[in-house]
This record gives sequence, structure tokens and C-alpha cells, in this order.
Amino acid sequence: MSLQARLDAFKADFEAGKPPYSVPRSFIETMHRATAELIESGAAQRARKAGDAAPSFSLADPEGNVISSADLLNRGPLVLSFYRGVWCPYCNMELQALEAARPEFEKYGASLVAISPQTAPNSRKSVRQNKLFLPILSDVKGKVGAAFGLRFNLPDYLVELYKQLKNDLPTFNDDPGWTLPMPARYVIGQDGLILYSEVNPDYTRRPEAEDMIPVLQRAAADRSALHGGDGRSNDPAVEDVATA
Amino acid sequence: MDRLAAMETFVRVVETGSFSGAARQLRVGQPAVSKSVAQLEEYLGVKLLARSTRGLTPTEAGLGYLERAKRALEEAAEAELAARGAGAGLKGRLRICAAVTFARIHLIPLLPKFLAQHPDLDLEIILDDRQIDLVQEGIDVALRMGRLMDSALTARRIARCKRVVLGTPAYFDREGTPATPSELSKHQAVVYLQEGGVWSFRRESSELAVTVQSRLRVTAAEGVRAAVLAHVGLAIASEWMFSPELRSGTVRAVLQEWDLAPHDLWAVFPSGRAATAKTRAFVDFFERSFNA
Repeated sequence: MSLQARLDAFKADFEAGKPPYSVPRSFIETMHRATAELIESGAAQRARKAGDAAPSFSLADPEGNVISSADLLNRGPLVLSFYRGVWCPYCNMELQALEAARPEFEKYGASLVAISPQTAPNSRKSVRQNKLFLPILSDVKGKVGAAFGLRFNLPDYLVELYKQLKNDLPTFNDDPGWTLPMPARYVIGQDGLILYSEVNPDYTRRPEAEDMIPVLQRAAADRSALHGGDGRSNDPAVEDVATA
Repeated sequence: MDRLAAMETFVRVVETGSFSGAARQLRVGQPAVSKSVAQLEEYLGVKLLARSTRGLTPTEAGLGYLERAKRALEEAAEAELAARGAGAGLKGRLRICAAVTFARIHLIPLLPKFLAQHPDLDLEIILDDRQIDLVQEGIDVALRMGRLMDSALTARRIARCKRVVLGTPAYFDREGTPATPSELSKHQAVVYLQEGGVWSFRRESSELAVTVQSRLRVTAAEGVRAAVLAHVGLAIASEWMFSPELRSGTVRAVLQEWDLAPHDLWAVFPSGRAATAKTRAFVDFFERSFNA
């Protein structure tokens, strides 16, 4: 069953008000309104996309190890997933799908990391709950998300709803501003240029993990053509916009 | 002195920025153009043009005269048309500009009917895939595709067309049929240089983009067509560009669940000039016939 099929099944139950969430219809309608307005704003079209240089970053994992995009790109192409947080069931399903595909990505010399604005304890919860081995990084105040053009301010009425649902983003993210990234997936080549991008202003839609594989196959073929198969590249040509 | 003819000459000189440019458009010699402007200046008793190292520019008096002269010429043309009676007697020459491939497939086949309807009208069709300067080239109307870049232009949308990823059955037999946009990264693309090698799609509200590999990049749509038909690779094209081949099955569209931004077809008029009766008649005819 594809990831999107599982997300769709979950969404159908969630929006029907079924337990364990048992969300009232009026709440669902508020969520729909916020999504429709985010789509309407055109923000997803302005985010970084294929052909653009990927902003570089250095971010900490839950244990405090700093991981930099430059180091990862020195080893091979990079699959990057921006997600909202452990409180988002769609994000957890996506992280599980990515974890399942990780060994396949690694066959092509690629790294996989996931980035969200949540704090280290919440990231540890993501790892535990979803049985993850892929590094998940804390993007303090969503700066890297902003560099990719993904960060947006939640509208007031959605903030009110999240407060009612005890979805306390300022605590989860250690950030008084109510911001989130639009979920997004990138494949970045070793030269720092984005090869593939997908931005999902509707957070209930995510790309399949397997969709990254043709892009990684191509990146691997380019690499062996360029470097005689040794897999090394020069320093990636990226602009440094965010660090831990 | 024919005052209307002198006005027309002066307007063309300002629009083209030179006596020689105006002479080309009016199909007279350059001396006749400078003589006509000199006579006009003498008659009015003011200098209309300033001659500098950067060419000819209207003086302040010239600028004021220019606007009124344009209006007077348009009024005169409308008066002539009204006197002859509606529908009768469109006369003279109409310069139409369009992209080469689009014109070959969609414009030129319609022209015999238009020419038959207007026996006293001659057409000049300027074919160019690039966006040429309408005023400089004395174009009455251009048919242009895509998004309009120049906000100073007045334009009317004629039609909207889907864009698709397409290739030949022989190419798909050899290289496989892509099932997702991400699979395009393993295919060969024929890239239209004006549009580049990043292909952007939308599905529901999700925005996808992928860089394609292309060993062949060309500057004219005609080249994209020829390369696709020679099975070199896939291309993104408006359905207009491959209408006959899509109908016959010589090319096939793929990835239809993903949307590409559509292309609009515009009739674009040079700025600062109202469309003449000739131009309006042509655009109305084309819009009707093309959308029929």
C-alpha cells in the first residue's frame, strides 16, 4: 500500500471524527480553511525548487551532534524531508515510509535526513515512536525551513484551534512565534543544486519514498561519469544561510 | 503638403527612432521622410525632433504633437471606414507577427479565408520565435504564447492551451514510459532553451519540480518538434505545437495526472496605439476561427 493511500485512509477516519482523535467537524473545517488559504497564497510556488541552489545548513540531532549539509554532500546526494513535528500523524507516517526506504537510498550512496522545528526531546520522541535510524534534526526557529522558503505564520484562528487542542507549538519548538514549515522533500546533488523538489502546502499529501529512487539513480550515474566512479566531489557550491 | 501623410511620417519616425526605420515601414526613400518632417516643422513653426548622438528624440512640442497626431490618424482611419460602410473595404497592409511553428500549424492555414473576405487587404506575416519590438518593427498585432512579460503592452487573451510531456511511441518502446515526474530524471529531454531544463508540475496542490537531462537544446519550437519526431527524447510542449501528431498518435502525451502550467495565446497590440479597424477585424476573425 502506498504512503499516500495510507495517508488518505487515515485522513478519512480523522475527518469522520473517529477515535482516538474524535475531532469535531467544526475543527476540521477550520483546518481545511487554513490549508486552502496557504495553497491560495502561492507560497509553495515560491519555495526553493529543482534547479535552485540548496541553502546549506548545520543542525543538531537529538543527541547534540551537529550535522552539516556540506559533509553529507561530500559523501553523496542528499534526500531531505521537512516535516512539522511528532504531534502530526501524517508526518510520522511519512517518516516511517522514509525509514523503510533508507537502505535503498543508501545503495546509491545517498544520505537521508529529516528536519523539523521541534526541540531535541520532541525529536527523541519522533525517533522512539517511529523506530527511526535516519537522523532527524532540530531547525531552531525554523531558520533552515525559511531559507528553503517553506516557513509560514499560522493564521490567528488556527493558533486558537491548536491552543484548544493543546497543540502547544511554542513549547514543542521553543519558539514564541507560531510558525511551521510546509512539508517538503528535496533531492540535492553533490554540486549543491536541487535535482528534485516537492512542496506540500496540503500537509495530508506527501510524495512516495520510492519516487526519490530514479533521481538518485541518475545522480549516481552522473557521479560515476564525472569522477570515474570514486564518488568524491569538490566542495558543493552552496550559499551558507543557516547554522546551528 | 498632405498634412495627414506628414503626421503619419512623423509618428513612424518617433516610433522607430530614425528616418531610415520610418522609410522602411512606409516603403519610401529616406530623403522623402526627412523632407516631409522638415516641411511639417516649417509649417508649424516649431522643431518637433531633436537630433543628438543618440538618435532622434521628440522635443517637448514634438511630444505633445505626437499624441494628438496619433489620435487624428486613428480618427481619420475610422472616418474612412465608416464612410465606406461597415464590413466593406478594409484596405492597405496589415503586419502580423507570430511564432514560426504556431503560425505554420494554426495561423497560415486560416488566412485564405480572411484574404478572400478582404480583397483589398494585404498581409505581412513576420515569423519569429523571439519577442520582437512591435513598435520598432511596425507590427499591428502579434500572436504570442505564454505569460506576458511587458506590462506596457495591451493584449487580449484568445485561448488557453494545456501543456503536456510527450514523446514518440518509438522513444517509449526504447526507453520506457515514465510513470512519475521523478522518473523523468532518467529520461532524455529535448529542451526548448527559452524554457530551460527544470520541469515543474502540480498535482492537487503539491508543487513538484525535476531537473531533466538534455543532450539536445534548441532555440526554436520547430527544432523541438523535429527532435521529438526523430525520437531523440521527451519534450514539454503545448498541445498546439503537436496538434496533428497528437491526433494521429505519432506522439503520445504521458504523466497526464500531473498538471503543467497552461499556455495562454494572446493578441498583443503595440502600446500607446488603439487597434485599427483592420487589426480588430483580423483578431476577431482569428479568435472565431481558431476556437471553432
